[in-house]
Amino acid sequence: MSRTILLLLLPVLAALALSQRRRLFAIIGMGVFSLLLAATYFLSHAPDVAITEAAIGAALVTFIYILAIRNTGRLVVVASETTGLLQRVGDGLAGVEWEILSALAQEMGLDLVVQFVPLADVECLVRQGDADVGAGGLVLDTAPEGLVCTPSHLQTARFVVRGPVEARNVLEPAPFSGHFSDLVESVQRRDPLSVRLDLARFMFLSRHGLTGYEATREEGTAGYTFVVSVRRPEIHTRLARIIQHLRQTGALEDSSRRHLG
Amino acid sequence: MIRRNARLGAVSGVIVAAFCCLVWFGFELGTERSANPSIWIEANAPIGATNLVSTIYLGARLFDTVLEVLVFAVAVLGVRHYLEEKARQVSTVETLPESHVIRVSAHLLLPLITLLGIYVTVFGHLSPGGGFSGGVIVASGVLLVAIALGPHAIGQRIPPERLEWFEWIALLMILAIVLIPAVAGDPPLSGILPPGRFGRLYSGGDLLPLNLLIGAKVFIGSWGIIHHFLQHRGEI
Repeated sequence: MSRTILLLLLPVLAALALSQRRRLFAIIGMGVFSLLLAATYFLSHAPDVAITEAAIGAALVTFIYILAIRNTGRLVVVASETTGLLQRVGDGLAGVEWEILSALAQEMGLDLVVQFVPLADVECLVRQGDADVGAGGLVLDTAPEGLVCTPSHLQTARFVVRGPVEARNVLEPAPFSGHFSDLVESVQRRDPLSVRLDLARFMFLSRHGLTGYEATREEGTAGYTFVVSVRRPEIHTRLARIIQHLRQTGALEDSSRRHLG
Repeated sequence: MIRRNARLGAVSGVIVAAFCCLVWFGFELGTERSANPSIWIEANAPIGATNLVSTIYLGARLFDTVLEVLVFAVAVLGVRHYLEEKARQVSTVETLPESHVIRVSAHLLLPLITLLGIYVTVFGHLSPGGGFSGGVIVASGVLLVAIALGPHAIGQRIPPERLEWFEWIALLMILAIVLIPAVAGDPPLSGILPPGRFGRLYSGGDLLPLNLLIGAKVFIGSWGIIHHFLQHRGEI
């Protein structure tokens, strides 16, 4: 009786596994199919075959497929961690840019993967095709070679932070390019510094105490953007449409109020 | 278009139904087993193992098994040879680790899976299992950790490069066990170890060492192939 039920379930599970849109679900379906097949073998008095089927079909092949689809079906985002825009919260991620990118990944039916890199590497990785989108508080006046900027999703300003007092006016202000955590540490150590920052990073830094440092706001406003390779115009079009949609519905304003205050 | 889809649906429906019928008849009508266990014992008694399947594929059909192991070894060699030509890919991108649940459960499960794999290998001649399934079980445990911690982290802990030499020694030992009786002038497949007492762990003659060697070979080979793909292509 139980074998009859298993035999009836097998084609149903196979059809379910084949008809899944998301690859991960299809692989899990295949794994369950193998497990039931192993149970069928066991009930048919073939325990050796059952063990082999369970080990290879349900375990090894499933794991190999899971490792294999890691680089497919994913929207890879490289970003410099920026508080309020794209930051780690516990085991997950949060921020204004995270919400926009999640909407994009959902629309494209892909899994969103964020890899944190120094700010200077973001453009290079997107240009090489190692990532689909560059994010994390990018403020660009003109699009770098080989890349396209999306319309800005948030307004920002540029700030120059110099200091401490004895080192002021010694260094020329350079745009911030490394890991933000390194910058926070060097401010805490009172290292000589002369750096140009965007609003989100400046706000976070000033909350941690910029005493001894001089901060000036540069004239004019700028906007945060995402960068996409010129070879991926479909991502650029979708991203621009999502940003416009979120702005029209007020979701973008609401999100920036929640994450940036 | 709709008509074409309907035809495609009908054809695939017929194929699926035919497949189901075939499986159904195969299982329901085609199995007339003897329920008399004494046949098993009589068949296995000379060699001392209780698992009839192991007795066949490591006894009368040993040459088939050895050729299968050789085919696997050639496949491993081919993968290594062609991937060695590609330069190593070192990913500079920092990957966000998987969720806490997967990390912790992988650490907890790896020793248990390894133990199960070793049990299945060692008791292959007494209960269902054997070297092939045992080796694959251990390899899948390592792959689980590779998924949880990232392939590079586990590649450093269990480097296949250091295990490769044992893979070839295992292969040579398997060939030696098969060929020694022939060289010594005994009839083929007569084995080199005494059969031992029926049903004990040490029984079945060469079955236990053969299972252990095949298990080691399959584990190192499958983990080595996957590790090579990850190292030289950056993905599988």
